[in-house]
Amino acid sequence: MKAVPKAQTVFLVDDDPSVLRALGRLLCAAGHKVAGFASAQEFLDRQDPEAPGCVVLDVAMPGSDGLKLQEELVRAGNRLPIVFLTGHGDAQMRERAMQAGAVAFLSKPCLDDELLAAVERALMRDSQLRHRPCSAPNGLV
Amino acid sequence: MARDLRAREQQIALAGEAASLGFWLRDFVRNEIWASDQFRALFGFGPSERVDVDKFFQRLHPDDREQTLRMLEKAQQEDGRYQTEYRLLLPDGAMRWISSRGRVEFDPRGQPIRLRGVSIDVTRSKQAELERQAHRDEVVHLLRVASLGELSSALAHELIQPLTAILSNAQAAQLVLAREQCDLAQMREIMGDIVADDQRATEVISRMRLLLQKHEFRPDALDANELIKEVLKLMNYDLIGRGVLVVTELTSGLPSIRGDRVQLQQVLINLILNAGDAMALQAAHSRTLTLQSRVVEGCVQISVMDTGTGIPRGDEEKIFERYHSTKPRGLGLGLSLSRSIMHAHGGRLWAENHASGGASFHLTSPVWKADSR
Repeated sequence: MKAVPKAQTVFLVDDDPSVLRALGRLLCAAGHKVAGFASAQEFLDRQDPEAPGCVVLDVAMPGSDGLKLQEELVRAGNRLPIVFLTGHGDAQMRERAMQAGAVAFLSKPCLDDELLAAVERALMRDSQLRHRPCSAPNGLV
Repeated sequence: MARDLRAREQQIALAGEAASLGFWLRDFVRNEIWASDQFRALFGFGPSERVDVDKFFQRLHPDDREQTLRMLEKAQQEDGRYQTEYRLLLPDGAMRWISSRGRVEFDPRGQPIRLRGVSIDVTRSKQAELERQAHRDEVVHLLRVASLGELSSALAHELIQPLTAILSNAQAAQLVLAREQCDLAQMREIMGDIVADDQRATEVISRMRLLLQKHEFRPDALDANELIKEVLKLMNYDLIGRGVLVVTELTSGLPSIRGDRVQLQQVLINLILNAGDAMALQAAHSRTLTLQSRVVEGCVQISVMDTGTGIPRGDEEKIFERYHSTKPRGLGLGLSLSRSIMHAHGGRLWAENHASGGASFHLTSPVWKADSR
């Protein structure tokens, strides 16, 4: 596992407190800085749009779901790379998420290798984007 | 005078024979039982065999002895009347359903002297009733399985969440253990969470299993608010998937209701699934499901209210008819069956549109009384 620049944060959004805690622990144990949010709204309200990092996002959540949050972030020009986690994602959802620029669309429960690799890719993309501020508008590299 | 009496007794015996009624008289003072021929035939006693209380109870089905004994004791302590049903298990292995009523006569000091009773064989009508009930239970069960089918992906999600948490916690623990200095307090926390999530998954399975099991109507003292919360736990992800916002307005301290937990859950699942369908065409932000509990006119009333398209004007009763469906793939059995479940509970189920748009379904259930069975 590569060392990750301290400045980057993994923003974790999941409405299930137990899953949020467990994923947070796993990412921390792998050396990441983690911030957890219980809903899409809480993320939008509390997260600093300039902060570097990536989002690990649950798809099915009450209120605004993960895909809607992605749309909203894209619309607002927030280019944080997103790793989706879903309990029952169909091909259509995956297609939609990936086209809108998601780094990965993983099925729950997912093994740590898979999740950590996707998070690494997402953080890598984030730092590339920050060094090339004028890249594609939707964050595709 | 004596002749009149004898003639009357003969008349009674004849009428009893014609109606298959068995008469009996228990003398508390002499500790004897006199039984008519018809009674002896019903209970499997020979024409001149001595009948006593012990022999009588031996003929009763073992599961019904205790209850019948209590009923007779209660009659002696109260106004002396009783009416009951029990099963006989005859020495040849045959089973008979008996309906029995009687009266205790007391002396001026209030001591019981005699007990006069009449018993009739109701095996045939009882079997027909049980068959009807079994048939209904079967239909209820099939529809429950069908509605669980509709919920299957939501239920899978309910299991996936704790499994995800368990896996991530276990793998976090592996990473923590690989370090040179292991934080024991953190390990304890992780293990505690794994145990809790495992229990959570087990509860999901128990709830599903309870709903999938076939069982007979079994009334219990139930808390309406608990019932609502259990159903919402089962349907949580289905409602999230449909983009429905759930609001609960539960009155605390409600009296217990008398009902069959699984059947009442089924009625609520059915009403909530309908509400979700009715709101499918609404804009996502205006899909609100409200579940309310309160006491109305001595009954507990549960209301399921949606912000959907409402019931076509004038169809508020029609929707409860069998095979009436507004859905392309609907069987038209859900609401008619839900209503018959509520009637079997001694309660009601009805619907109305509300002015602000959407429909409300109200169900009432009588309050549990300690001596009701």
